Amino acid sequence: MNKSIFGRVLLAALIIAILTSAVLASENLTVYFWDVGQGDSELIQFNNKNVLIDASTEDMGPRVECYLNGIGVSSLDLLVATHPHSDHIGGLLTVLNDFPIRQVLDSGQEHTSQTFENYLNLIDQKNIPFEVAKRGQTIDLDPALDIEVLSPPATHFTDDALNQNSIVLKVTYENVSFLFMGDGGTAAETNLLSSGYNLDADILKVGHHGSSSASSAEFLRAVTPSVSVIEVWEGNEYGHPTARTLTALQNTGSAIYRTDRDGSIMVTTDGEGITVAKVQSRCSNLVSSNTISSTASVPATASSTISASSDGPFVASSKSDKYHYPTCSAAKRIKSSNLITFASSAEARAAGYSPCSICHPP
Amino acid sequence: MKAVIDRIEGDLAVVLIGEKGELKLNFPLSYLPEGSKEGDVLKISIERDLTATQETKQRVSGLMNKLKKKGQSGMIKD
Repeated sequence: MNKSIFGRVLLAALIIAILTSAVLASENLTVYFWDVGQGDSELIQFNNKNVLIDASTEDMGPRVECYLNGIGVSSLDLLVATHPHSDHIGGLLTVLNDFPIRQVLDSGQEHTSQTFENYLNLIDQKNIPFEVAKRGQTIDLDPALDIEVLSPPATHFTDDALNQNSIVLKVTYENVSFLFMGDGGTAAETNLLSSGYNLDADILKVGHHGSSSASSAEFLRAVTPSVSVIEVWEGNEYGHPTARTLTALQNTGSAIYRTDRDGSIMVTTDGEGITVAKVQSRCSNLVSSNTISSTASVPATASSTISASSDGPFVASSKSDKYHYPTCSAAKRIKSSNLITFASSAEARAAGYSPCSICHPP
Repeated sequence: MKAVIDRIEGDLAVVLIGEKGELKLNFPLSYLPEGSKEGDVLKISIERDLTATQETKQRVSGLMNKLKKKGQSGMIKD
């Protein structure tokens, strides 16, 4: 092959590779609901941009960092601290220390805890641009994504103030919407209902860990989620989630995912359908352990079709960092007690595993 | 408030608090007076420190205002 033809073929291949990655990257919105004990942490990923909402308690900081490293996140475009309670901002201290962050969105509420003061001091030391959330703001992360601040309203709530004034975000990608409630409760919900906002959403990050102070029946009727995710730890002493909340969610017909039972949850959408996968991650062993695998599909609703992601299954050992075709010679040597199954290569990679160099899975 | 050191587990003192010892808290021994041992009855008093609360509020308020004045990146629009 002469040099110029070789050069053109190489260039064409390069262009195809770039176009493919650009199209793939811009087509899917992925949201992770991390398993972080008794606290909240979610990551919104779109077109190589990353928004982290909360990072649970201080002892969970390293775990959140491990999750982010595991999926190749090295910087954040936006950090959202829904409110100053330590089960939401504690882990942000690790994140603020270790990741470049373009902007912080804060609830604007003040708290006297040392954790909150450390959080403010870190933002000051690192000179990170700081904005206070208020209803009606839009977040210009990507032209294809609508992100709006629905709460807190201009006049803040005075009872149970820190929770009720949580930042509430609605993220819409074409026909699919996510509603992130923070620890907002019924006061925030009632206010949202009378605000005139379209609260209809496909995926709901349930308010306040599934406590009975949130998720009123009237509010849930307005949201009618297909998928509800509760961020909660199995050993919590607060009775979260309550039977009342679980029943109220079931009554809307929503599928319910809980980080205490399902581990970390990954929701992917192309703007039409939704895929829900349970993420198997070695990071969950940091601080406490939680091992569940497999992909679950959710009943389809009129507005969205849901399917299981499909290039798998793949297997891996909990003692290694490679994933394999089940037929791979290396896979056959994995002890059944260590065997982990992934529904797709994306799920395996999201959990921090890389392809085996013997069987070369996608 | 009534409290008793029920036992020592390594570096932790298991302290039973309340009339019936209903609240169990594990205290690192370094948090307790020197020489504390199994069976010791402790005196625990809790007071609201309103002065420190006020001082902390003012300090945090000052920090919040400083950050607000620094401005933002332009990503968030009103």
